[in-house]
Amino acid sequence: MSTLAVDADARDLAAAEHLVHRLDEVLGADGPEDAYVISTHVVQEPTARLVAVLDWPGGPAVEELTALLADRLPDAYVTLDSPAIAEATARTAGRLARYPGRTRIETVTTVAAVATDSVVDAVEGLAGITLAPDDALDLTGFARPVWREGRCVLLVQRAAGGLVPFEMRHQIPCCSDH
Amino acid sequence: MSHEHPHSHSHGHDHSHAGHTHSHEVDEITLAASSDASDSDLRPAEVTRRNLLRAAGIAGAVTAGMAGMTGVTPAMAEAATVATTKGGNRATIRHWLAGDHHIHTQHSSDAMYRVIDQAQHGAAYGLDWLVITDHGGATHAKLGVDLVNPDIVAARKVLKDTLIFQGLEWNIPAAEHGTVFVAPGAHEVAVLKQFENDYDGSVKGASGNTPQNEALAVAGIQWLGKQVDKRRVADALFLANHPARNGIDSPHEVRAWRDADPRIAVGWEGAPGHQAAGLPAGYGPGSARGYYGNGPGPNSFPGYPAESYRSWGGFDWFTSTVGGLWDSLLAEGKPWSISANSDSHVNWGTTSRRPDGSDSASFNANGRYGDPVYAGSLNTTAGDFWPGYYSRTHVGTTERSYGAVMKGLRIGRVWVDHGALVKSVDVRVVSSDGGSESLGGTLKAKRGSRISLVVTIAAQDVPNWSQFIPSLNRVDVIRGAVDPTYVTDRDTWKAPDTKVIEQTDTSGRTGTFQLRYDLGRVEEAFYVRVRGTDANRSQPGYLGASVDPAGPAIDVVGDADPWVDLWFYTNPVWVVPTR
Repeated sequence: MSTLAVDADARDLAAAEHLVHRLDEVLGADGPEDAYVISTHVVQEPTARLVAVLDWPGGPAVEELTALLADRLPDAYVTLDSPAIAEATARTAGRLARYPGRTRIETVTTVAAVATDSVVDAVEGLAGITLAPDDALDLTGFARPVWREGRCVLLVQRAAGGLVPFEMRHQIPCCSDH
Repeated sequence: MSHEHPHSHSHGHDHSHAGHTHSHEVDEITLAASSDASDSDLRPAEVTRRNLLRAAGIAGAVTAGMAGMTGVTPAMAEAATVATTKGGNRATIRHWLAGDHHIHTQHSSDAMYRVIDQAQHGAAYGLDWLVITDHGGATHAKLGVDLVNPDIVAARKVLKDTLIFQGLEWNIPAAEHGTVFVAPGAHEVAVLKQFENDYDGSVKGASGNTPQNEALAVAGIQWLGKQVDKRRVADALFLANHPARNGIDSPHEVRAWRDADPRIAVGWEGAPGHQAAGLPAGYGPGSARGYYGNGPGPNSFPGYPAESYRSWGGFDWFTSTVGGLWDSLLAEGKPWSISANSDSHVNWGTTSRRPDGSDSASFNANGRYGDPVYAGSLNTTAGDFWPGYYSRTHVGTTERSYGAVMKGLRIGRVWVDHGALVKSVDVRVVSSDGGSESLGGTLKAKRGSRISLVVTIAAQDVPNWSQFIPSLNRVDVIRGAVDPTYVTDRDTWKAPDTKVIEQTDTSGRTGTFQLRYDLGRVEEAFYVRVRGTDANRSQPGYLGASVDPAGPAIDVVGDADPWVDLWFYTNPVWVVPTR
C-alpha cells in the first residue's frame, strides 16, 4: 500500500488537473487501468492550494515511489505528512481525478450505469433535480466525483444538452477574454 | 431617460427627525468627528474620542452628512427610548436615477470599448449615471488610471445629462472584485491611483486567502474613508462585485468590509453582469448566465453549497436565496445594499472588434487597447449587454448630481431590475402612530403600533430593449426578525427567521397600482423587502419551500435566456419598536 501526497502548489482546478496529468506520465500509461487513485484536496496552510493524493495499492513501495516522483517532478513536494492524506483516507472530502471506472463512465451514460461501472456510490442532482436510474448523463471526457462522508458522490447539473457534471472541465477564468 | 414622477402624497414624515434635539454629548461628538479639525488641533481626550468614532465608522459622517442606512443597532433594538441620532438626510425622493456601477473600457485587458462608447450607449439606453471600472492591476495602476480620466472628462462634456464617475474594479485582497469609485474632483485620479497601488490584490500579490490579505482589504476600505474625512475627495463608495461567483467572499470577510467603514462599504451586486452569457450556443455564448459556471477552488469558503456557484433567475445566490447571506446581514440590522450592473466588456451582438495589433504586449506598453474598429460581423459569443440595456440600479435622490447619487446609494434608496420589468417601484412602511419610511430607512414606531407596507408600482407601459413590454405577474414580500446580537459566528450565512410572507398575483395589472400589506403590531425589530417577477421560471428557494415557495430558479448552463426570466428586487426597510 502506497499512499502519498504530491504538492505542486496548484492554486486552482486547472493547475490541479495539470498535476494529475504529469503524475499519469510518471506512473506509466502502460499499467492496467484503475491501478491507482488520485484525489485532490484543499490544504489551507500556509497558502490555500490543491494537493494531490496518490493511492496505489499494488504499486511500488513508498520509498521507491517517492524517489521516482521526486526525480521526475522536481518542482513538486512529495510527502507522507499532509492533511490531504488523512482526508483522502477518511474519505471526508476531496475530488477524484483518477478512480476505478473513470474511463468507462466518462461518456454518455446513465445514472444507474455510473454506479455500476465505477467507484461512484451515488449521483446527485444540483438544486433539487430528482434523478431516475435511466436518466442520461453526458460525462464525455470529464467527471470528477467527490468524497463526502465516506461515499463517492457525483454531482450533476442541468445544461443545454441535458445533465452534465457540476464541475466542468473548463472553469471560467476571471479577468480574461471570455 | 428620467424617471421623475412627482409624488402627490405626503412625505412629511421623512422630516420627522428635523426637530430632534441634540444633547451636549452629541455636540462633543460633532466636534470630535469634525473633519475640519486635524488630530493635532484636538486635545488628547478629543483625539481618543475621534479614534473611537473612526473605529465605529462615524468620524466625518456627522459634519459631512455622510450617514447612510442605519439599519438596527444594538442600542436601537434595546429600544428604551428613541435615543439614537438620526440616520441620514432623508429628504423627499425627487428623482429615481438609473445607473450602472460596473463598466469596462479599452483600459481593461479583457475589454475593448472607448469610454464614450460605453457612456453614450448607457445614456441612450436610459441610464442617468454610470461608473467606469477598469480592472485594477499593474498596467492600470501605472498607466490606465491616468489615461482613462481625460476620456471621462470629455464624455461628461459630450453627455451633459449623464453623470459619469471614475472608479476602478478593485481586486479585493483575499477575495473577489469590487467597484470602488469617488466623487469627481481635483483628486479623483490621485486617490484612485494611490488606493490601487497600495491596496489592489493583483498589484500587491495579495489574492490568496490569508488573514494578512483580508486585513489589507479592511485597511483599503478604511483608507478610502480617511480620504473623505480629509476632503481629498467629496465621497467614496465600495460595492462587492459578483460576490458568490467563485465562493471566495466568505461571510466573515463581507462583515469585516462593512464594519471597516460602513460609509464606504455599502453593498454588493445583487445581480452580476454578463447576463447574456447563458444564451444558447449559436445564438449566444452558451456559457453560464453571469459566467457563474465554476466550482469551488482552494480559496473558496467551504461552508457554501454547490448551488451558490450558479446564478438564480440571474441574481447572485447571496441575494437570491431568501434567508441567505444578504438576509443574514439584514437580520443583524446591518445595512447592506444591492445593485444590478452590466459588467460590460464585450457585448453580445457587437459589430466591432479590437483593431489589429491590439495584443497583450501593446496593452501592457500603452495601458489600453487601440480604439475599436468596425468588424463587419456579428459577435454572438460575447456575454455582456451594453450598460442600461438589461440591468438597472435605481437610486432615489433629492437632486440630479454626483453627490446625490452617492448619498442615495449609501442611504440605500435602491431597487434594481432586469429587462425594464417595471416602470417604478415605491416601497413605504407606515406606522399607525404616524411614522413612515422608505427603502433603506429605519422606521421607529411606538411598540404595539400597527405597521403596514405600501408598495406602489407603475407597471411597464413602454417596450424594453428587446422590444416587448414586460409583465409583472407576481410580487413577493419577504420579512425577517432583526436581532443585532444573533450572529455569534461571523461566517454565518443564514437568517433563520426570514421568509416570504406574501405572494400577490399582479398579472394583468396596468398603470400605477398600490399593494397594501398589514404587518401587524410591532413588538420586535424586523425588516421587509420586496421582490417581483414575470413568473416565467420559479422553484422553491435553496432553504426550502417553507421559506420561499416560488423563488427564482437556478439558471441552466448554456440555456438561460435572460429576457424570459425577469425580476426586480428592492432594498429593505427596517422597523424598530420604541416606547
